[in-house]
Amino acid sequence: MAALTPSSAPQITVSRLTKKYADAWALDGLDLEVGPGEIVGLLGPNGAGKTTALEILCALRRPTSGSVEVAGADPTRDPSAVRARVGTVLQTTALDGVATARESLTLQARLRGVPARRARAEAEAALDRAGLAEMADKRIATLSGGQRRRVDLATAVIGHPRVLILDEPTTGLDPTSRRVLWEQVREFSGEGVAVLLSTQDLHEAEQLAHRLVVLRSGRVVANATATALKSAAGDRNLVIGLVDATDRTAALRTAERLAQSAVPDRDDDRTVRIPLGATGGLPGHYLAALATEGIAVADVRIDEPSLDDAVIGLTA
Amino acid sequence: MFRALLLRTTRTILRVPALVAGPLLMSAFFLLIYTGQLGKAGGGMLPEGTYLEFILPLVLLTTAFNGGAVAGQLLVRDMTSGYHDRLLLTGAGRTRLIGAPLIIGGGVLALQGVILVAVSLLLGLRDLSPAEAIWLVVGTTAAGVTFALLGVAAAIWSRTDAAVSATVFIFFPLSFLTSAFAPRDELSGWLEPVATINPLTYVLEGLREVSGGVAPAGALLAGAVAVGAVATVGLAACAMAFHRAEAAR
Repeated sequence: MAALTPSSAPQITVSRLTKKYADAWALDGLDLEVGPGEIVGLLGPNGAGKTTALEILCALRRPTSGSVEVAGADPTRDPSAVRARVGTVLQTTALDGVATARESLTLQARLRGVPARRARAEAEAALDRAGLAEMADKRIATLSGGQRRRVDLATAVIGHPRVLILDEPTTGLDPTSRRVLWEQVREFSGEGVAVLLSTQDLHEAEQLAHRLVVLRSGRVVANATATALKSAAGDRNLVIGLVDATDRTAALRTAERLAQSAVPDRDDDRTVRIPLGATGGLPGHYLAALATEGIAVADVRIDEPSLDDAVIGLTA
Repeated sequence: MFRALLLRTTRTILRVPALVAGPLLMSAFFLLIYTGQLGKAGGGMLPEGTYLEFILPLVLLTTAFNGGAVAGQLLVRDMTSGYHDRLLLTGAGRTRLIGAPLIIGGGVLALQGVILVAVSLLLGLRDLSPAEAIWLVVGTTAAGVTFALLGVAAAIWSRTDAAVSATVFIFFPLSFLTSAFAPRDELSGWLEPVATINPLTYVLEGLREVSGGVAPAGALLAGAVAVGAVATVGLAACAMAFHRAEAAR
């Protein structure tokens, strides 16, 4: 990783963070960094400490011990400064149902210190950006779940925060609304906002996050890209589906001749699996060798461990 | 910032009229029933004044704690929906978030007091001087805001509507363990000593001194002291609830 310059200094720095509730440790030595423009996904099973960590970062909870700095301020010592610089989307959509979208966003702007005459303009700009300009004067209780979540995100970015903390922002959204929200998050990241995103949707984590942090029992058990996590979970396999099951023995011998190990698939008598490892050219050579021997191939694919496999392996 | 919160609370109350209309209609209903049912019989036992002048303070008192509970209900509404946490994240501060519903709730109570005094005048209450009418409204509002502090403390402590409603449930019967329907020296047996130690008796009699009903000398001052005492308890309860909420973070 390139050395950090002052302009690229992390916007979130967490060191040895702990949080104890009664007899249970929700967080037990969490370390974490998020740089400007970076989207970091926070993963882990229920009870791993994700929501507790996010609530501490946005100054809704106090830690038991450890150090935290968010957008240059300590949430314990200076919660007002943190709240002024951080936008948050909580796990459940929390909006005032009897207010309109415009009124809700205008209030948020006012409470973040935007002067009254500018607050309405900021609210309208946020609604435009969220694609909700036509819903501006509708009461929030009448909006769909996806629209309310978009208002929620628009609320979080009023006042141009330097950090966005998102706790399962797309839970319950339809695929279209989810995509719209992803695009917005990518835009904010492109503008230099540091994003910390907690999600149970591993597909979402893979699509959005530059890096993933996996928690188990309040501790970080992995901190890497999705690709690195999947590679660490096991080998990729070249999977060949043969037209004729009787060709399988010949296909296995061909692989051995090319000095590669191959295994028959347990579930399908027409399929052969070859662990790829670092064999960049193998697929082409192997397919050419099969063609030379007249072995007909029905389909070819590369199987790799999924992010599900990686995370389950880390948190089991 | 605080003005924006006051505006928001006002807007909520205007859009959820049941919060305000319900207590007001109930109070007006009881005012009609009390005077209709008890006007002749009750008036007969009074050395002076009409039964309407005597019973109006009870109606104003029950309006005070029904209306005072609105502030707590507004807070609980925000807390249970998660919106209170969302507002805390803006840096608005707990004091402002609680102060806004208390102030607007007080304003609504004042309006309810004005309406009930106006209805009483239509029912035949003696002509009040402007100062007397203002004192009745101020007394109702002060009592209501005091009760509201207890409702707010319940809201912060428990974050449930049931706890806020329980404060009304406690004060409603207490308001009848007073000189609600008869002067204190006309109360029989156990009720007179109970009424004597009940702070609501003094609030009631203080309002009664203004409305023209029968009241002991110095009742207005005693009522003000009683409101102050309950307000002190309410502020202490709010402070304890605040502290507990912060410690639980």
